[in-house]
Amino acid sequence: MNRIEFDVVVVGGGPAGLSAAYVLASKGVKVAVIEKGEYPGSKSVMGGVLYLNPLKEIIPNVVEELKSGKAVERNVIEQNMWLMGKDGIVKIGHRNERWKTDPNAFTVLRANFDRWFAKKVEKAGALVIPKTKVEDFLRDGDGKIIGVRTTRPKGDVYCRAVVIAEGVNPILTIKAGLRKEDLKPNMAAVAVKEIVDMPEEVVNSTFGVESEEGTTIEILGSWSEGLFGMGFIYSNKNSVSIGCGALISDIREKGIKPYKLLENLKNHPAVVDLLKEYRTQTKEYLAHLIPEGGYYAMPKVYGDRVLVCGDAAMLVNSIHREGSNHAITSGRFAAETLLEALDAGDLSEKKLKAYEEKLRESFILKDLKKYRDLMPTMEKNRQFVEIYPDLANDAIYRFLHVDGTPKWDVQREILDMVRERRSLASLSLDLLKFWKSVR
Amino acid sequence: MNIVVCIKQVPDTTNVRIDRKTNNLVREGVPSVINPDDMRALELAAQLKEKHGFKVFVVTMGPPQAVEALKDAMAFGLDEAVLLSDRAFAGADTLATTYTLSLGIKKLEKERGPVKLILTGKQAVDGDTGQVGPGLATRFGFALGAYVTKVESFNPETGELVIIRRIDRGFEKVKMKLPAVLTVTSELNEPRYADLPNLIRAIQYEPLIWNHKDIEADPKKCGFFGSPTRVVRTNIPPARKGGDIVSKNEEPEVAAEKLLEALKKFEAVRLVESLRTALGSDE
Repeated sequence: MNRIEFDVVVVGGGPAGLSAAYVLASKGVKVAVIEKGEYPGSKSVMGGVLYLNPLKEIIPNVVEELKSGKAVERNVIEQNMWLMGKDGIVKIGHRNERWKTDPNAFTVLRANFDRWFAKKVEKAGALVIPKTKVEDFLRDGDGKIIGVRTTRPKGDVYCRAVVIAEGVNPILTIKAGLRKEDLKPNMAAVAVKEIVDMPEEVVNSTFGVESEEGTTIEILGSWSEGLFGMGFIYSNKNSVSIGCGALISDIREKGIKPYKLLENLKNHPAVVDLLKEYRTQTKEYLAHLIPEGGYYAMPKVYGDRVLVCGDAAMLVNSIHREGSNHAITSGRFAAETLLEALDAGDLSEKKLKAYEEKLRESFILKDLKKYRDLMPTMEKNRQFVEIYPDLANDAIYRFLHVDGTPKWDVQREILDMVRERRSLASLSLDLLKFWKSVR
Repeated sequence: MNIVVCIKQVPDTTNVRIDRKTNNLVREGVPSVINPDDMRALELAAQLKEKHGFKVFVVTMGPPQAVEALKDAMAFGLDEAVLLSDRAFAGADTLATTYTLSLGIKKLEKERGPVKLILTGKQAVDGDTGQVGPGLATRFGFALGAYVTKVESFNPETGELVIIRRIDRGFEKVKMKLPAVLTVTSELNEPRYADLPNLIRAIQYEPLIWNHKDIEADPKKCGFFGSPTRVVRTNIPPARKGGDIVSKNEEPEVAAEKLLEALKKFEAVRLVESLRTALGSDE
């Protein structure tokens, strides 16, 4: 019987796996991507903002190609942050002309983007096998990984190395012995998202942009009912993505249903005004887990003949909504490490450790390390989401609302308001805590 | 002996929406799949191939993107796939479709040997006519077994087969002889989960693509110009109102009694009475 054999098998056809496969195949390595979904991207959920830098590293002229195709939605030229109070919002935003000529990020719908990426990978010479789930490794008598077993009949695939890009559920990562146990509820957020229909011209006028250009809004505050979570509204070509996420542990503890959080967000007066009647034109409803355990929750990312990339390696910076760029970059690092290892004919754990070093020297682990204490701090300090967004709204409202009160008195009122809700000592301590966790 | 399976690429009905203004299917962004009944025809062909070593060809008429459906079909471990694709074929009704398909099959016969069995789904989920199978049988002068739910026996030596087919009031057992066309229903079998070698072969397979010249078709008999059928108007049936709930969380006896009362209101008395008689109730 003919054995199915490849140099490298990549498990998972998301950004991490496709990136690894693309780099490997471009260098003539015989590689297969095994994806359990109907097609790459079919099971993916992302806000989604896709940063372009990692793609530019591996695909020449990628920005031009993406702009002219249907793989991406809009070029992000403006980014906003909303602090949401019960009946108001404090907005901070930035818009820059430079992003128009030199795009930094696109909004994307992953079903389209991943399919485009998969086509590139196929053109580079890799085989993308969809609708097929990898359930375990094949091992030789000594326990060395020599391939993967899929759930299909005659489904064994032999290879010299495996790239695990399986996403947030660490099934193979555990089977490879790189993670001891499944994720804990405080290591993953559940994100829910709706795509609502909105004609292109309405998107343009709603967000103050031209066609092709888009804006993003991140939203912290009242919608989350005291949970630490981020909401978002992203403009697509002729739709809008709106969603939010919160840690599973929090959701479980508070007993709030994720869709309820999304309803809160959608029913906030500011969002109602923004999306108007299109708010209810839901085209798609999606939900997914996001690995948010950060630095401390990372598995070991290398082993004998195996590497772990993207979400499976916990490479997500939730505070900056970055994940797909980490995924693509980690995929490239994995591929580069394997190229050297295949050349040297040495795929041992010792040789593949170079992958971790690459991660460590890059923005990926530097950023993850920088924010390693942020989630634990937020988890323990509810005031950040329970008190401050409302406080900021009420304070600014009082400051801007003119009713004949002398300004000295207004300032005193605001100070009293702050004191009433949070003592100045606690406030300073909170600032210090926040600074310490993000510095 | 060769078998031909005719398939159609259709919108995935689990994802179909209807544009309320134009009453047309919204096909944009809706993934395409192989028509579900055609999957059963493919499975039957794959089984016959495995058992008797026949060659199986899969044929479809459609736009260039229909190669995807053919590639999916090849995962059943079939021999070759042919796409009949040409602007001249577009807008075809079932008369023009069977004309084009039959010429494609004839070209296959010429090049690969005689075709004795043509299989297809009983009807496509998007058009619902159920006429292509019978049309092909007519054009080839083959025996027709429509709405086949089971192949009871098949003798490859004599070409005799016994099928069970669904008819209006039950099932019919039919003995027939090749050459034949069978149109199959979803009860026939459960399409397989393709094995990995066949799946990989299917992904890498490039179907043959034939245009009207390749199959020596008269463009006037193909597509829109060869189609006497005109869709004058389509109607959407009025939305049905939800039913009434006559009983909720009550004992079965009470609930049953309430149901009977409700049924009587809907002039279902006769049915109720005959049910009672049948059940031997003395009330």
